[in-house]
Amino acid sequence: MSAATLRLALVGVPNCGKSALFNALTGTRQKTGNYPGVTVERRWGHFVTGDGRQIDVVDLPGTYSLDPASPDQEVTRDVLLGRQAGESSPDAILCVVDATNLRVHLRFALELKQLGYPIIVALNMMDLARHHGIEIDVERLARELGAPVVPTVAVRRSGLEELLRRLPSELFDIAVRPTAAIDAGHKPRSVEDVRALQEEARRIARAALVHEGASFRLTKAIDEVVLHRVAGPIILFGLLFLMFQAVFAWAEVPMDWIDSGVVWLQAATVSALPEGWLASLISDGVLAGVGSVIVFLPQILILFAFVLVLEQSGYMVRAAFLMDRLMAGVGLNGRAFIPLLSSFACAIPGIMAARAIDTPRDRLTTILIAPLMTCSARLPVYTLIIAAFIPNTTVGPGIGLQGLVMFGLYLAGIVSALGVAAVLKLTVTRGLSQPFLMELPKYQIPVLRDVALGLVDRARIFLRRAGTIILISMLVIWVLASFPPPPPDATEAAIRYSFAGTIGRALNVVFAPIGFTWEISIALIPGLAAREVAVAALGTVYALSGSEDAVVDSLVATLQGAWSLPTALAFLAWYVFAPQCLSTLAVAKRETNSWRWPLFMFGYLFALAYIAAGATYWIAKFVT
Amino acid sequence: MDTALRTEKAAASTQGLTSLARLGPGRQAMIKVVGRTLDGRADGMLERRLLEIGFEEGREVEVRHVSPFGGDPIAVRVDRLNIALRRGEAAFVLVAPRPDEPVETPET
Repeated sequence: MSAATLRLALVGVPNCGKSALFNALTGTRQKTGNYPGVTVERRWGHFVTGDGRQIDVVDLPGTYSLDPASPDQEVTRDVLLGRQAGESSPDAILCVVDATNLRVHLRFALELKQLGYPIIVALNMMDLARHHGIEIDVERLARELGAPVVPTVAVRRSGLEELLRRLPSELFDIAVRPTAAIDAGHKPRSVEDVRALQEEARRIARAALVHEGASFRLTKAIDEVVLHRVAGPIILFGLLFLMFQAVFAWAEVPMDWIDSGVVWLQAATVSALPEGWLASLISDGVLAGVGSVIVFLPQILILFAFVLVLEQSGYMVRAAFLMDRLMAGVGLNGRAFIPLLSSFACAIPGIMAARAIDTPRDRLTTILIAPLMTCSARLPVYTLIIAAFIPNTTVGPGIGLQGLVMFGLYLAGIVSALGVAAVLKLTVTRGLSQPFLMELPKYQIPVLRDVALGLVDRARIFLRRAGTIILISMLVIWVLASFPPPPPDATEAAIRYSFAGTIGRALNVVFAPIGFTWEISIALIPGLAAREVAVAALGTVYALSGSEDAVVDSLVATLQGAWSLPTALAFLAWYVFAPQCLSTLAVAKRETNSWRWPLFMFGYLFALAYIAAGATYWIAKFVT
Repeated sequence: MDTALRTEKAAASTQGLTSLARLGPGRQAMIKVVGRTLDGRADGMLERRLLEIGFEEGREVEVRHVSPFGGDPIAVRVDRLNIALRRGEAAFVLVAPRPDEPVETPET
């Protein structure tokens, strides 16, 4: 027998437990990436069965039918019809069916079967079904469907062996493998077709169901509370508060570790290498730059741990339900809530999370406003300026002025995001409002393995980016800030004589009207790579400005002496909108598949930042 | 799309029906028509999506939750399924309320 690797496609309706099954099959051997040309995530993995058969499995996005309602679902259709560029069509389909919802899931199974692929059905969530008194005649179901049916509990890895054993062995033999007679001329189904399939699904479900079972009492009881008109929003905002506390408080210790690690590496580099450009390149360019980004890894992991747990438990969809009305006010969808929430840690995962939004327009709007959510990279800048210029007084019982200003900056970001969304909806992303229609799945206890796999994946994506785009931009910026070297008789900071200094002073023509000094203009350039680098850059500019006590530690004191209050406030206002984050622009480019939208994003953020900073400067100047 | 024909079909059979969008919280009803509004508007794409997610003629439906902010969207139960949708979409599901369940709550 000439053995061949079987290409198996995992297909199913959303919430059928498909991803859990995929995780159970592939474990840590799974990989994620993108389908070429589109921004839909591709998850695949290779594994060998107990009896040595090779299987390549690809997890296709969940969909209710082959007539797609979102870009994700388009991929599922196109892969199955052999239309997806760079992706060969599968040899067989593993259709995942939720045993507790046969009627809806069988309709899709029947639709898939019509494609002509060899198909095997995983009757998933059998434990939940049994628990609720749902009894299914599996033999009968298989007979009626005309396909092997294997009961599984993906989260407990039960039934997997049986599932793999039942894959027809001729599929693994290239010599006799049947070529799937796929219906290449697939046309969108008419409503009548859908009804006919539904009719058939209902008939099969009725035949196979021995017992209908009871309703999901626990889900019902939880929903009574979390969707309650009063308790619901309180619980949601409580959870959000806990999440933010966790992101900022729990991450502090590991962030300090990373920080000290980077500092140690820098010191080691400087002492190991002869003083000169190489040591500076590695220490100030590579380590400082990449370190300043990697330091956010703990925050991102904590945020995503929350997001993944809330998603897997089934709560996230409830949150979207609760938030939908508020989002609809500015023409957005309840689902935009999750990406925007993630953007408080970092716009990059936020923009990536926008993939879950069905409608391209809503998705684009969400991507475009994600950078307005105050990301954690802005925190070091806010902290520095607030510490330097906002008096540490109280304005009421337990309310400090500094904290209030910080809160105001966050609020300014949120309010302007909603405003921009509303404007975009009337102009750039105008279109009919799209249906908001989604299943509220049963609550489930999140599985540690699935959360862990998700976290590893996010960490990998984030670190890969830190290792490539941020590394490259840091190198470019280091070159700009280090060359040409200052003349021997230099009296001012070395950076002033560099390309960055020249560019900064040229830029100052633009920035002087909004109250920025040339030092700020210089700091904005390194800040392009990552916002928080601007703090380090300010340190560099002033430390090397000749004033002896201007070391980074006393940057607060230095700034107090060097900047006027209107300038400081203008700088804060600038950072609410600040378009300068190359990684965000790069990920927006990848997700929208063109340079058009990231350029638009840069343009509108720049305009807003300029106007806000200018208005702040002149108003503050007038008032003080 | 042959809207005229659909409107004609609609006019014949909406007697005694209301739309899911108008069904008050806690009210139970039987789904009678999917894909058409009370005033006879039809939307083929939406009809397909409603059918696919689990709305089906002859099923029991109950309004379980309404949004705390302005009462829209709503969450309904069809069999064991919970489905969230906006009232705009719910208007395309026509239902016959249980006889003992009075119809209330106007659409807006």
